[in-house]
Amino acid sequence: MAKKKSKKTSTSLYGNYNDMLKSRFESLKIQPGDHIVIKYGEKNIDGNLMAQTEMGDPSSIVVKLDNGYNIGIKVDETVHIIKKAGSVDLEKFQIRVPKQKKGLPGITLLGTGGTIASRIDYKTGGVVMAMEPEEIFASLPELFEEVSFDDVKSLFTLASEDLASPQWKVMAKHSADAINDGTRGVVLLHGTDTMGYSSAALSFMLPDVPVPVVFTGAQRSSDRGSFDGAFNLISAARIAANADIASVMVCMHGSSNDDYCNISRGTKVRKMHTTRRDAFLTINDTPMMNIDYQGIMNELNNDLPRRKKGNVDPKLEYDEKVALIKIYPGIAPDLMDYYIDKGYHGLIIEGTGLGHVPSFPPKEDNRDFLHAVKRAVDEGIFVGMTSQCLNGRVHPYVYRSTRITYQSGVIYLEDMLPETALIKLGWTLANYEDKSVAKIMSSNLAGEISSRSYYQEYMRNEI
Amino acid sequence: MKFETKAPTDIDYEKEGTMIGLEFHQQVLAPYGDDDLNEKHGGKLFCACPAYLRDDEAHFTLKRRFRAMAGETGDVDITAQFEKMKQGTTIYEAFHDTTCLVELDEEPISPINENAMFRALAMAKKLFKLELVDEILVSRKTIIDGSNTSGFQRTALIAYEGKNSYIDVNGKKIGIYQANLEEDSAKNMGKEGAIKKYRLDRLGIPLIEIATKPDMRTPEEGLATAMRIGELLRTTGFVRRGQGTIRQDLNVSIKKGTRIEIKGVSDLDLVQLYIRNECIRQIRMLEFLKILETRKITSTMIKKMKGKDVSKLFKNCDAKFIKSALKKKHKVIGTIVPEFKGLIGYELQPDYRVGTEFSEIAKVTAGAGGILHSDELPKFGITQEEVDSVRAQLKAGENDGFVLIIGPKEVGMRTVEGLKMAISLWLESDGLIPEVRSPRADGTTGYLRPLPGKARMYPETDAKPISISKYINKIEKLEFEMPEDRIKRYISKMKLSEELAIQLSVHPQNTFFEELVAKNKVDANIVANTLMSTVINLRRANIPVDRITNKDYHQIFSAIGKGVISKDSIDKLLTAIANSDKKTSVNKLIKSLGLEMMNEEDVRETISKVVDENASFLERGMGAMGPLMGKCMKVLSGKADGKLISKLLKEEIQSRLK
Repeated sequence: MAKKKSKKTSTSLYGNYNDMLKSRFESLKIQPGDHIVIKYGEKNIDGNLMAQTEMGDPSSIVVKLDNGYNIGIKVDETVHIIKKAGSVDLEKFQIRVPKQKKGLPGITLLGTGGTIASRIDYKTGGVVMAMEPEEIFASLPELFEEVSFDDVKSLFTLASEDLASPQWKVMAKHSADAINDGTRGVVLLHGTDTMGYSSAALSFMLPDVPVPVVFTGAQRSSDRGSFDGAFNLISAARIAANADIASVMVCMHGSSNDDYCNISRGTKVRKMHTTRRDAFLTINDTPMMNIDYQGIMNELNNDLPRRKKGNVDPKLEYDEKVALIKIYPGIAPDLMDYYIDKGYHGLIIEGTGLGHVPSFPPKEDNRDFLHAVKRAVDEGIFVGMTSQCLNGRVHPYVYRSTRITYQSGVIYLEDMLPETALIKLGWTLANYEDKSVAKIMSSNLAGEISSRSYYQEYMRNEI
Repeated sequence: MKFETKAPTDIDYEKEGTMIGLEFHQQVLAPYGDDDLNEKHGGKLFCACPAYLRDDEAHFTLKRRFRAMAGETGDVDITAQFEKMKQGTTIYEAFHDTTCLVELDEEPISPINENAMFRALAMAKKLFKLELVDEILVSRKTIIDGSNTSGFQRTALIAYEGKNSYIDVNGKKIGIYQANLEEDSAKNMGKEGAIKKYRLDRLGIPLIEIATKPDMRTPEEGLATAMRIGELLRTTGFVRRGQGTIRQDLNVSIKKGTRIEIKGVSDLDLVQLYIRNECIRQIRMLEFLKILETRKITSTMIKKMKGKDVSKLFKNCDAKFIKSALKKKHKVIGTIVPEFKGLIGYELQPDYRVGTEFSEIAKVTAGAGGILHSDELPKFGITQEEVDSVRAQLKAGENDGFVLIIGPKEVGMRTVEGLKMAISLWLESDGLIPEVRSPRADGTTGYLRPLPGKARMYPETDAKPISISKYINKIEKLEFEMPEDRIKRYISKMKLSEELAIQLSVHPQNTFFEELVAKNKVDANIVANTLMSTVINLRRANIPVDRITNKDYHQIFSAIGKGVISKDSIDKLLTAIANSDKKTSVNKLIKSLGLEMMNEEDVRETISKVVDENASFLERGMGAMGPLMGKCMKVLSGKADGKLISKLLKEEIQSRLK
């Protein structure tokens, strides 16, 4: 298969202008950024041409006026456009890398894309992932007072929804190489939407990791003074360089204030809000530590894996034939049949409550999901049970339906997050023999299963 | 070079080539949703919160830190960079019920408030004859002084200059060149130490900005234009009213000077003074730069200024403020200002010295409370000896001035950096530097920041371009009554007094007033008096009148129109509604308060009883009318019309005297 071309950052030079305007601009050799005068009826507009956005009116010319404002002027073919001297370069970004200081702890920075590595595309007015990691440094000069960079690399510029196991492998491989080359820690810039999936993946792919591997990102865009990614990145860099902790982790705002970041275990963290800075919560655990604005670290968990000497032996294989099924009232059992017929190797069920699937519905409803689950198990497919409550643990003995589900061969995965379970399953199936899959899935490898549930781990609505 | 320390108090504006332009900001009244608070106060521009300004305690606060970010042209905006020096933390006060995640910069904006957009477009087109843009594009304007949680203000140009874009001010044409629709900033709530505090109730209220051409030549013309624009906007009923709903920026220049923006003037009474003092400042500043030149002061010399901790020299100082500062472990930081001796007392504006300018620079760059300088010392309990020892410690030459900053050490050090930057900018630029100045309560202006350049505007990614074509017809049909015409109509048709008519003509509730009169068939004077005086008196008496909804008002006047209650009961009823749980209907309140009017028979019976009880008065003949009327009113006030009571009482007395 041919390699996919990398995505363009701008849709096209002119964006969404209609054909009349596009051909007019082309014949006049006018490009976005060029200084133009539009004469239309009594209107006489002087400014710099901007591209029209996907949602804009194709027959309106967007002009940046001298005072910085953009306006749209609707025209037809009677418009008179004149090109003038004095164009502005709309995409000029300076990349300023401050000089590295000697004697500072060296860390590795890997970019994957996401909001933290995005900036505004001034041609289209949209947000694009085109930022080199270095571009962020321009607004973070203080970073260079505390750490040095062994390596700064942009692995991809992808939105987090476009990342999957091929990218996890690349992230894990580069992290492992850097670690084995002696870096103090790794920071990964990542889109926030699937950061929890990637952090889970690397948690398993880098077994017994000897140094911090820290994912971080941003919930606000980098153009604004309130950019949260700056504090997240500084904190992540400090953790990578200095924290006495060895794990794959997520470092994001711990509150809506810019006062501290929480460091969550890569297997126990979930994005729980679409937009807030403090969207990431540790579920069924306490954060490992937090770090305040001055960089003071505060350990919150008694059971922290400590930084140590030595290399990491990455286990990068991943079986993509796994799926996550969310149970809902009325779910059709043939959804299960689909996966079985398509040859899936493993399934994680996000059951209701303690880990239920519809087991004894009225006969005439034809909704016996348990029957389909049994078929999967009988065909040798691993089926694991988690809960859509997210908070808390599944339990196979409390109700008749869970007992039967359990007895049919479904493995109850304690307090593991459904997404973490899915990724652990893909990784386990690819790296272990079939007979040990159930055992591996039920054992705690990277903090994904905790033996006790503590009172303070559940976040309630407290007003 | 010889010079006069005192600034003049008047100048020849024409000779100096004075030019004045205004940017007039007025909050637009435009509900976003249909809840009571939105209906009454209007809404915000990009979320469904009401434009409800509050005095009560905030429900929660958030703390944020800002950074200067690379802008559209790749350069960090000069203004933003300047603000960064302050490294300010900002605290935001917010409310659970009237602010949301949009104001907190925790959620992308909702679609634009269409009412606000329509109203702003209509005002731009109809009042100022501006050309409307065809597509509105919202921009982000970088502002990181903390007044916006996002670090930018959302703003859109909605109309630009056409052929007839001007207003008539006392017979002179004043050109209007632009109208913008933008978000108001958060309300400044002062400081907690070095931390700035803002309140989010105001953030996001729609503002229409009307920008004039620099067509005014004198302070008087500046004021007259501001008043006319305000009057025109208010006549539409489309704008909010009250303290803080209007702010204007004054752009002032003299021929040899430069454009200076005086930001956020809310007090119209001071407009003339600000313009006068700014003209004086430009003249004086130009002279001051010449003095610096003759003293051969260069920016290289200035950049060598260094802060030094001289606290030890004040160990035994008697000045109270120094004693208490040192007790708090604050420091006295000193720096020489090379060759400035005798210049720090030079007045730039009447009663505003170079030292005052230093204080303002210290305030905005470092959050310092103020400074002391060599030209005013010894004074305030600081002795000549202490002054001499400071000079010695700072190694000040004979012609050097010095500045002392009292406060935390870093504040002092940052102040020195701020002064260095500001003074060297004076010396490096050819002439005056365009800057933004803040209005002070005494009519002078203080240094705020350099005038921002072009880099600070870029597209708002979370909004889509909005075509205005669907509003055009509605706008064309709209006719605004000019204030003059409205006054006439109120007097002739609605029989209001001239005073009330003038007041109401520019009141934002005038459309509501007319609606109340028309719908409820009630005397216009009753409604006008209620809105313009009863409600205001109740507010002064701390009755929470903001809780009274427009629907409540309709029910009250409907009851009056139908003769259910008397107009004398209005204040009682308003008070009850304002203090009620808001679950009881107005009609129920009328009943439970016993405000229903009696029918004529019942009134007659009551009067008869009162006369029975006070029969002795009848000995005075018709002279009993006075005292008996008092007794009757006590019982019947609010339940019957005074005129009716008087008529029936008269009949009752006459029948008994027969």
